[in-house]
Amino acid sequence: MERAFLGWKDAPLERAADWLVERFGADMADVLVALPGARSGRILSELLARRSGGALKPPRVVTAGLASDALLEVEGAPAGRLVRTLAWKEALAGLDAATLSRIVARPPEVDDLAGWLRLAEEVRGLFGEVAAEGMEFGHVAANEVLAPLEGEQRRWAALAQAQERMVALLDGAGFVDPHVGRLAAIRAERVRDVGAVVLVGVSEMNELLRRALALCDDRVTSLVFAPDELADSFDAWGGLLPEAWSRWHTSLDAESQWFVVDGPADQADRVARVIAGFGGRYAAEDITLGVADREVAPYLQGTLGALGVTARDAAGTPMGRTRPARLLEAVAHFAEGRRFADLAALVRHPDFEAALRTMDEGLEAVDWVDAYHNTHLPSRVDGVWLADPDERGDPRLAAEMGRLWGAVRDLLGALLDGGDLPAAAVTPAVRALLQRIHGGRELDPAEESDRILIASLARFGEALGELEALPAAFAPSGSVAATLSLLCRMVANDEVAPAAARANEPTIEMLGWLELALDDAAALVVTGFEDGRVPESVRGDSYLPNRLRQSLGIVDNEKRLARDLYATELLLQSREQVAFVTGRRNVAGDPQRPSRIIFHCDEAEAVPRVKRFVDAARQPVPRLPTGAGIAAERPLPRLDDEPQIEAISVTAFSRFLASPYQFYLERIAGLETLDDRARELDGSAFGSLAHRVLADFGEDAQARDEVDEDRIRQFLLDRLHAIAGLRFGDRPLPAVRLQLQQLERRLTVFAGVQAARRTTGWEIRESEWAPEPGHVDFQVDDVPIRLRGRIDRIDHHPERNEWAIWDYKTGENVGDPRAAHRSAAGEWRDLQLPLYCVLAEGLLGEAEPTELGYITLPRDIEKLGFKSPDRWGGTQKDPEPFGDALGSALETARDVVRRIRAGEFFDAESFAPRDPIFQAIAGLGVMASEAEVEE
Amino acid sequence: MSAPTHKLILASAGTGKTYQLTNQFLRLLFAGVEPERILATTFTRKAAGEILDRVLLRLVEAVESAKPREALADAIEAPGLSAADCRGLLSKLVRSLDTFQVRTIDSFFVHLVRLFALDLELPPNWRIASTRDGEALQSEAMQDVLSTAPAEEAVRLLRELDSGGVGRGVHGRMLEHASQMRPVFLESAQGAWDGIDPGARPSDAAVESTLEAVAAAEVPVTGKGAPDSRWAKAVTKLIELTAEKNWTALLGSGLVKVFLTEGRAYYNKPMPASLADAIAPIARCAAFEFLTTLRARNQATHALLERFEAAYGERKRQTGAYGFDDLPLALAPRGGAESPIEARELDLWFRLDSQVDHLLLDEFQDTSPIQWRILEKMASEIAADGTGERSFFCVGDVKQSIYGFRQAEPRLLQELDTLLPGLVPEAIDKSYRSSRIVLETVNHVFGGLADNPALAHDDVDSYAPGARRWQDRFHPHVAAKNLPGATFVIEAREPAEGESADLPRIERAVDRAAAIAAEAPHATVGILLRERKHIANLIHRLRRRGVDASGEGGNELTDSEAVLGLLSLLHLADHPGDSAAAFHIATSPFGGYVGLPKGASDEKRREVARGIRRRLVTEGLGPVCADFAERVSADPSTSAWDEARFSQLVELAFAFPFEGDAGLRASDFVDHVRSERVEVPGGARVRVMTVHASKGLEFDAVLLPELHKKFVGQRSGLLIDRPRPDGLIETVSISPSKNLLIADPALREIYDETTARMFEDGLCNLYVGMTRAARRLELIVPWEDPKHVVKVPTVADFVRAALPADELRAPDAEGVIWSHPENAAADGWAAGLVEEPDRDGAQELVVTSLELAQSTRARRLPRRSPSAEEGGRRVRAESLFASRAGARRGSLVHHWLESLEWVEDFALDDESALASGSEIEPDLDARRLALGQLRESLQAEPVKLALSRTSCGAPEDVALDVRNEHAFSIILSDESGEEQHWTGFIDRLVLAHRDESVIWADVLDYKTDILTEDELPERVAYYRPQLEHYGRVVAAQTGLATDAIRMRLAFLHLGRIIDIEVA
Ligand code: SF4
Repeated sequence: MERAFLGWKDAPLERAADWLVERFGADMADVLVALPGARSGRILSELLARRSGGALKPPRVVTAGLASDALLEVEGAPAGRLVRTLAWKEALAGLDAATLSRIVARPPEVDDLAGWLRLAEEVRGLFGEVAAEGMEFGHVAANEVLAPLEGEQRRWAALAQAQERMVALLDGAGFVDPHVGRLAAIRAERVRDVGAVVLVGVSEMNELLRRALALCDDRVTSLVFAPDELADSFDAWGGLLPEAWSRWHTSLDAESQWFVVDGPADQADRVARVIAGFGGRYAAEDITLGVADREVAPYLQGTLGALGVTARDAAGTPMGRTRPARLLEAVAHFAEGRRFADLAALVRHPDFEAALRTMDEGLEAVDWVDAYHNTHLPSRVDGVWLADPDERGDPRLAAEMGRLWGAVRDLLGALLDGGDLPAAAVTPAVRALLQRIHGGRELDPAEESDRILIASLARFGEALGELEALPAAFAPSGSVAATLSLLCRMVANDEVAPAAARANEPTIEMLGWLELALDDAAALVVTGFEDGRVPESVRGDSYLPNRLRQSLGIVDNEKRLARDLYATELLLQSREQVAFVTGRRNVAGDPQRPSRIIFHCDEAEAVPRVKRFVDAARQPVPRLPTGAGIAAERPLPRLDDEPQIEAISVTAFSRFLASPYQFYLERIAGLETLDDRARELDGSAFGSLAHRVLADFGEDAQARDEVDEDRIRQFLLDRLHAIAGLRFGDRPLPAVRLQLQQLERRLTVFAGVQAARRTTGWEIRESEWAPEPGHVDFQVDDVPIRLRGRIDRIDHHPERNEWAIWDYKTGENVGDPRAAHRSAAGEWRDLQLPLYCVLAEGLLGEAEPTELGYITLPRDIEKLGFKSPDRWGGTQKDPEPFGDALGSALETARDVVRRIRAGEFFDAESFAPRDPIFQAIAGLGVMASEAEVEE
Repeated sequence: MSAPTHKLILASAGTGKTYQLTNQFLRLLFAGVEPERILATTFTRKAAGEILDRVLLRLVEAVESAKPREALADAIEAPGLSAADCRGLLSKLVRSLDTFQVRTIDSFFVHLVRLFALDLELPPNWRIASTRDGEALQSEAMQDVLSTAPAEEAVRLLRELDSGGVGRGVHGRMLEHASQMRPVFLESAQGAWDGIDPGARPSDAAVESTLEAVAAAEVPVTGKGAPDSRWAKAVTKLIELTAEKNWTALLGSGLVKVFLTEGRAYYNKPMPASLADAIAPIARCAAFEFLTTLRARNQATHALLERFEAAYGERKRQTGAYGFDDLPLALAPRGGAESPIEARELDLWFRLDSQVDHLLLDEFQDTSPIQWRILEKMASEIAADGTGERSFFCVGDVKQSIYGFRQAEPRLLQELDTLLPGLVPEAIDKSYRSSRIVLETVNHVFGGLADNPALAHDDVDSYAPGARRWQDRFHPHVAAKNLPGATFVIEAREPAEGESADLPRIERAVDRAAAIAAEAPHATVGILLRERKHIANLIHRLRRRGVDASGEGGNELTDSEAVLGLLSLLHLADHPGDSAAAFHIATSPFGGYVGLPKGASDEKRREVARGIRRRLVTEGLGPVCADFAERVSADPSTSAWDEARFSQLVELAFAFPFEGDAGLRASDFVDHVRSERVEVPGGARVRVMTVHASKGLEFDAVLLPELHKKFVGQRSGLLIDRPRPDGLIETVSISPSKNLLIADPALREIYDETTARMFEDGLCNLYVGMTRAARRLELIVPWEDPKHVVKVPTVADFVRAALPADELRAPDAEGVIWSHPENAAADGWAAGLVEEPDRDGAQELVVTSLELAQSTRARRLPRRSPSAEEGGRRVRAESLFASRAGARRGSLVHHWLESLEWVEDFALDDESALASGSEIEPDLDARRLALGQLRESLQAEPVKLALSRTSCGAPEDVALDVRNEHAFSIILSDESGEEQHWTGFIDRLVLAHRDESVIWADVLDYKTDILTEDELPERVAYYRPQLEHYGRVVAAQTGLATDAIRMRLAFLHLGRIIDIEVA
């Protein structure tokens, strides 16, 4: 074993490359080089290629974590991650209930595949950590720290039992756990044939690697980035001595090299300032950003991006964010419960949607799914598409949904089959889906989106292969959804590497803390320099608290501190520029503390540093100039060409009277908003249902003449069920089912009221009546406007030859028609009923209706009934004659028409819509929070 | 230094709770206690951060100068404290910052749950879900309930909720109901919902027979001796209602009510005994009927809650999404005698990695019973310690308990000295925050509390116990600092006909705030409201007046038109049919960015929507928003405000986790933005918020414009009896209308007690609001209708009545009806407030350039590999996810061929070959098959020749060097001179040496594709680029000319060798 101290004054890997070339020349074919991370390995091989030209026989470069595999001759086939997880799952699930309960108080249900896998992954990870230090669960159970802790001891003993089972299970399937295999190889001293082993900057190593190295001791050299004088601070393998380093005082100059700011955005801002402060000495490629807190990365990307520099995130794109992953996740959700909402999400997947459109040209899946939801409130998809012949429903809807469903089924194929299937039966269906979605496409890796697609499809291809190659003993079986989720989980921790930086685009590299030490940029800014991140610190652990770690010799807080103090010192020594940024607050707003490393300095120096941290909280922040956010009033937006208004419906007047601009947007521009979040009938859907039933009643010659309450009720309820059946099917959303019962109740009470009224001699004469040809001409300033409308119901009393005009109201609290139409001061707010009189002139002639009002079916059924006001104006003692009231109503109507003709819509004051998009049209976003309740 | 002792400190507002807490902290630290042995909890993250800051700050100050050092020495009773002591402690502390445990109580519980997750009944994938996700889950759970509960039960319940009405809404209503009552449900003891006993019901016959007696019974007589007609009428009414069995009406009015009321007097005459006897069974019957119905309602509600809880629990288990409020429950399940941690004989301290000996509890009045039940064991163990080795410290103020709606239980603080015997409460009433003027006003209002004339009316006699308790807790406040101050009571104008009564108060508040902002531009102003309802409105109006105003924690980003534009675009992406969104986009700059003009066709609209959806999934939400941010800032029409807000939107976008829907619903983010408040850079000096949100804050000036409310507002709908503050709720009932409570004295008592508590809450709210003011306080009261007689007083009535009557005057032009006689004149109250430096530095807000040197190269060379060059780098999608069997077969064959130097010498025995391939292809049959195929291929003549030593025809003097899996790593330049780093392996490279130099090279690449002769040309073309690059590598390594390098593809399946000619 040899140690070489290469100093720490300049780029470490350059030094290492020099050393390697000097020692081995160009032929390194027999050399195994181990470095702390994959990235440093790539840098080193580039440096070697540069130095040796074409003559290089490259060495084998591995990460320190895999070095033991390169050294040891393991017997048997090492099980991959998936196989091991499944073996752990079997091992745990096979424990007797009492033993298992020591590990987990409430084990997952038998069929909860995902639950078992999570548990298995947790235990597998734990075992990896313990085994890397050359131990097994049994060792932990026997540790003296646990002696007084019965519950803990029992748990570890149970884990040891599970481990035994796991090893046996793997063995039975012809596999060996790699940790177990390595331990065995070390015990048997089975080492591979390697010429030389060089460790490059491997300042910490696990026990397994130490023992593996010990077996080929004479061929190992450890390159240490530190000056010779510090030889005593490293062990024989070139690893850090924690006792020596955890007390190290760094050479940080806090004044110039450390910045404390508030939140993550401020960290990004500070980075920009630090870089600007370099004053043009460095190009983008000479600068690295350290990202100790991943949460800051997006802020850095945003801030630097705005300044024209790409911040290239070495972490890449998480596999879960890729298109295939999202597709399979969406399919899994849909396959699981066939919920309509999941179908709505699935058809929004761009690849899925594109495939639908290819299969069935012109299919507007999203539009139809929205429309179908809002018409029929479906909960699940069973392939039956409701068609309501109501004129309001789009007759194409059911047909289009049928088309859509056909295409969805063709795409998903066997993935829609229910029941439990072995994983190997699901994989062909996944391949078939991917084939239908992506098959036949030529992807271009030079295109960023294709590049990511290639990587993710390839990863899924691999994962599918892994699932298919599983030994029968471990192959999971579950619902299609469970298998798809497993597939997604298999790739979840992987990433698609970022695209290579381009020479012509200034790009700053972002690296995680652990990768910084061996990076080769001249200038470095480290963000997220906070306690808990640098060093990572574990206070409390569910398995291995620090005390137990210490006792077992597993990486503990002291070792972590030592490692990061060394790394910090190495950065300070070897870079031309280094700055550290600490945020006082994370994205969620939690307070953060500076890295303890800042305070590894002289006592006297610590005080000003603490002060800087505390003072940062009290620094005033720059702010936008006063009044910056106060927008100037701007004109309300209007159409480019406004259509001439030649017709108006009687219900539109109230809209105009309340807000001319609202009227303009809705009735002239024809705008509507749309979403699909209803989980039950809203007021208008409820009302339309009730209206349909009542209209049918009024149109049925026999029913409407009925005086028997029970028969009326029977008729109404029959109609209700028939119409609801058409509209919502026989398995409506649960809430809808209850809403129908509520409506039943209201109709039942109505039946009684109606029967009583019929006995007084009133007959229903017309229902849903409109004048021929659908409108009357309403003269305003000698120019007629078509007045449209449909009267819910017109009653006639033949004996008295009297008329009554009614509008059904099903709102929750509708009351008095007069109050709804006129304010206390007599201003008209609504003109519907008076204008009904105008519409009905053709039927009534000169006759005034005796009654004009609402038939209310409100929430409070005591208030259900016929409400015709005794007067429309004046006072109790001195009522305004009906004719006068009508006259003033019509005058108001004319006035409205005049204003419409004159284009008087743009009144901002009265425009107070509830819908956020309508608000936004007028720039009223700040009002959006109005509806919020007490916190 | 004295040994740490247990302390309970009752600290009034502004008296420095944090100061007390830091004292204790420092006392412990100076006594040599390791920080890891101290646990301090509080309720907000902000407060948690502040505690540690203050500890550090006080040490720094003590190191630096003598005065604070002496103060510190005093406070912690450590005379002779030296700067060196302080420096030593400080430097030791900061090196163990990681061991400090100052946390919010929620985060402490999260930590515990994390450590013990598998020991609690949580699923392995549990996590803390966002509020939005939690709500979605509750909504789904309610759907489950509605679909599984028997319809009759659900409908009955629904009508119970509607008190007999038949409402349309079901899902939303039930959900609201269930989530409101859930906390009570979770805290109620077994049988608590079943606690009403209706007693026995007299038979109908008995009731009927008593009617005769009623009719016959004598009624009181008038002065003239005639039967009192009012009594007679009441008797008739009673008989009528009884015949109708209208029990509710009987109970609520008339003689039954009289009978049940103490004193039994009606029109000042007592009920004759004979009448009383006759009425008794009727009253009993009415009470029975009422209580039976009430019990049924309670049971129905309980049943709903039980179903809901089960469904919600199931949903949570499935998704692993838990809320903060679930964690205490996991740690201390309801009804469980011991916690799971104890039951499993686990050690808290072991897993926590620290033994807590010193507990510091901040804001204790906000602790809920369940939180306390978890802390209690720790607390009582520590408080029982008399050795001075352990200490318990707790600080709070019952007067500031305004979180009852979040289950806070102030009685815990009130009774802590009995819960933890031996604690001696210590009260502090000296305020370091407020001016004397403000404090005197506070003293006015609360000092004479119990005698306040506004509380004199009978209708509010149930307030009295609350008033007394409050009075007992209130000690006159004194000012520690000599600040100028001013307080005013201001009346709003009379509302105009038909105008909302809120308007005059809002206008007044806006006027006053604008005036203050003009008078003292550097003063911070808090407008504190009872509810959130008018916050947006107030901010809106203030901003229209040119006053920068924001809510606590900022406003929603929807205060920027640029943000609104993007939101509409995202909404349109999700709902291409939304014509309003399209119109909004078209009329905003976004119409130009995405090419959506006004009046665009449906097809255009869909195309834009599809485009955005595609980008969102392909590029991600953050990058797409960032891209629009560039458009927004480049747009000359964009204001600085919009630019700043839009960049905050981008941050939200980057941080937004898509949790459900596979991230396919853009509306999820839209909802998030609409509900999230984001502080504008630098914030605003005028802040509008609820009193609740103002807790812990202070302002130079405070306005309270919502004093028009009654103390006892909306009741929660439940009557609750929790006899012990640390215990469970033992009786719960839906709250019936007050006049019916007469049927059950026990319920009535609970009702009255609830009322008294709510009154106390109302007082606390007023107290907290008033005490936020440092210098100036303005109480805005509504116009007082002279005709109106006060029965149930509003807060304003109470305030008016508390002021010295002789100082009240008619409103002046500004509406002032009272001002403190010693108010500082004009803006004197703001004297000494200085503008903080550097505030308005708009130009330093942004860095405009990074000033980088010219880029000359990429940081790393592009890394290339010939094997990725197949097919000219384009990739057929299906090749990526096709079955891997072929690839494994290929790897096996390559693996076996690695040991082939010359075919003549090649001996591969089946056993070792099959064994060695198991890592590559676990299936033995597949390995067998592949091996068989390989042997067959090697029989094919062309293949044999290509691998044969003899047939390669090299002369004697040429040495052949065969390299299998030849590794290379080399830097090459492409045509444009750009360097690339090429790495990879060549399957087989044969180098012919003569003397010292290489004279030719032979590259052979094995292909295991299964294909037909017809497909061969296409495959050859596909692999050609790969081989060409091998050629370049070999040429560079050997210096050979291209024509000396032979490149061949070996198609093993066909047994064909194809020469690749270099073009
Ligand atoms: S409210 Fe503020 S000043 Fe008052 S005790 Fe709490 S932290 Fe201190």
